[in-house]
Amino acid sequence: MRKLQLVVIALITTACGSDIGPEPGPASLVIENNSQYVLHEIRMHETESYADAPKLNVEPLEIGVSLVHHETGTFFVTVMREKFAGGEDVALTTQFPIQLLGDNGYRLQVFDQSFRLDPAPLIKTSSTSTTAR
Amino acid sequence: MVEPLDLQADPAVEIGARHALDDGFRSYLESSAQWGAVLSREDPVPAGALVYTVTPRVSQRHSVSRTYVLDVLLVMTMGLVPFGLSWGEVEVEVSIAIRRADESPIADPLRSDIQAPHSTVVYGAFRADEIEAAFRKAYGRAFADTSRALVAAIEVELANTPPSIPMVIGEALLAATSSTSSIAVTSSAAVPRALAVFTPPPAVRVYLEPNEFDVLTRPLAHQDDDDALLARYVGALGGVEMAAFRGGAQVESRTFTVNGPDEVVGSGRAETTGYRFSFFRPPDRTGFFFPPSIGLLWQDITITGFRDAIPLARTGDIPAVPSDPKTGVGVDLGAPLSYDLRLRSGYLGQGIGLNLVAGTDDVQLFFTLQGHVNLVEIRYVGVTVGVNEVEGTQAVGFRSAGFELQGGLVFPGAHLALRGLLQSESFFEFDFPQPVEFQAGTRFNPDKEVFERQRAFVRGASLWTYNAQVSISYLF
Repeated sequence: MRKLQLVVIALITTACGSDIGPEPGPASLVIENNSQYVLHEIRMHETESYADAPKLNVEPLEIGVSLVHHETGTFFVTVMREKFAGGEDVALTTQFPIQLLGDNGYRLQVFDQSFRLDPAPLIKTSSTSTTAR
Repeated sequence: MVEPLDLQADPAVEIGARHALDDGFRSYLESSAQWGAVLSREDPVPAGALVYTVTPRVSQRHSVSRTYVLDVLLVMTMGLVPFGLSWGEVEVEVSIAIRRADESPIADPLRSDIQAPHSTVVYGAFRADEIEAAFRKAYGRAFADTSRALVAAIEVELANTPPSIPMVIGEALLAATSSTSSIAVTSSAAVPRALAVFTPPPAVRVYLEPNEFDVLTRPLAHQDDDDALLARYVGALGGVEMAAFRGGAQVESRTFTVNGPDEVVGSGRAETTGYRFSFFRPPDRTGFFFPPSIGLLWQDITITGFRDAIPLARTGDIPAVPSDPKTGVGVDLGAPLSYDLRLRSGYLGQGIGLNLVAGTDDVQLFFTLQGHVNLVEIRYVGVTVGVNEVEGTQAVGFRSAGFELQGGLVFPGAHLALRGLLQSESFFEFDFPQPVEFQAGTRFNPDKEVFERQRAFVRGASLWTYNAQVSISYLF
């Protein structure tokens, strides 16, 4: 009987031990503005609609400037810029969502009419930041 | 007795030409004075002859106009393009003094002033034959007129001479002297005596019109020309013209881009067709003219970029789906950029034109080539950029020019004219109030490894307008 109690405790301990391992950190996403336009807004959203998505940037992202964001999941990315000098804004959304896995780094280049996602070194920062290249 | 011809105007006229003129005048005189003889100063005067001394003076001038452009073209093509248009007029003035034996004049000097046109269409820069022909024509008319007047004056003089004065007359004398180069006048008993007073004809300049289809250097006189004020006023309007026209405007912006130093990044076109009534006066003479250019340009036109595909550069690149942030509705990101332009210009300039008119009383053919440069312009430009309107006004100089080409036929008898007309004006660099964006052609950017269209900012646009029309006119 005592042996049976020890086996049950050992099994329970083993089972509980596998559930409480270290959780992966968020992915880092460097968004580079490689277009010829200033990006007024950058949004990430899980559905195709960007209407209610919060914008990631506080200030417009100038040409050649990058922004680092940490988040894990599958997202569409939308940027907003003027269509032409003096014209109204146009929103550009990735045709399909991008997948960001935890503890991985990514680089998303924004061009005039396309995006490019590449692996990149993971940047362990807890907040969104912008960097001029 | 006729003294040697005094050829005043041109010392370059060679001796042979002077002798030819002497002979010419003598022959005209001989043909007019059938009853007398023409002697030179060296000839012996027949006994009893009533001698009058005639002193002719001649001056001649001529003018030649040419296009020069055609002459250069003729030389550069070594004569393969033979058109070397030249035209002008010759003028011959003949003055004849008649004196009695006692040196007293019998009348005021007789004068004749004759002008005749000349023109050459082919190899005009190298030809003088048409000028010589015009001189022959003018001299012939001048000698004929003065000879007739001279004989008439002497006839009046003889009619007033008392019959007791012996006069040597005769066919024999005339025959004897006609073979010499001498010139002199003797009287005849057969001269009518009814004339009492000789009045020299007025010294009116006579213009000899061309006899055949030829270049016209001045308007042909029409039989039905009316001197009434109203008729002249209406006639000055030319006629009423009904024209069918097709016109248009083209605007274009060029700038330095990565694709080239002068890439066309924006353009626009507008066309109009229609009919118009107006007054039209066809040209009636060949020659240059120098009209001012005064006008107002009023053109609304849309200037547009061009569509160009931007392919993905790498496998795995993610296309962007463009939409309107306000509505979420998709937009066409490749649609060419487009701006509404309002271009105005009031201008003042100077032009030069050349009319070529050839023909007869029945039909005349005309061509006109005219060009002008606008010296001063006041320009206004309004541009619609997005939802904003920007505008500006400025004064510029030497930034526009134009040309006009027309050709047609005139039938004076039928009061009818037909013509075709081409007009064009170019206005260089209408400056925009602010730079306007277009997109250059697609190009691969090796730094980014992506295809893209460079944003091209232009500061102005050039405008070209044209008009072509055919018309029929009723001439007053």
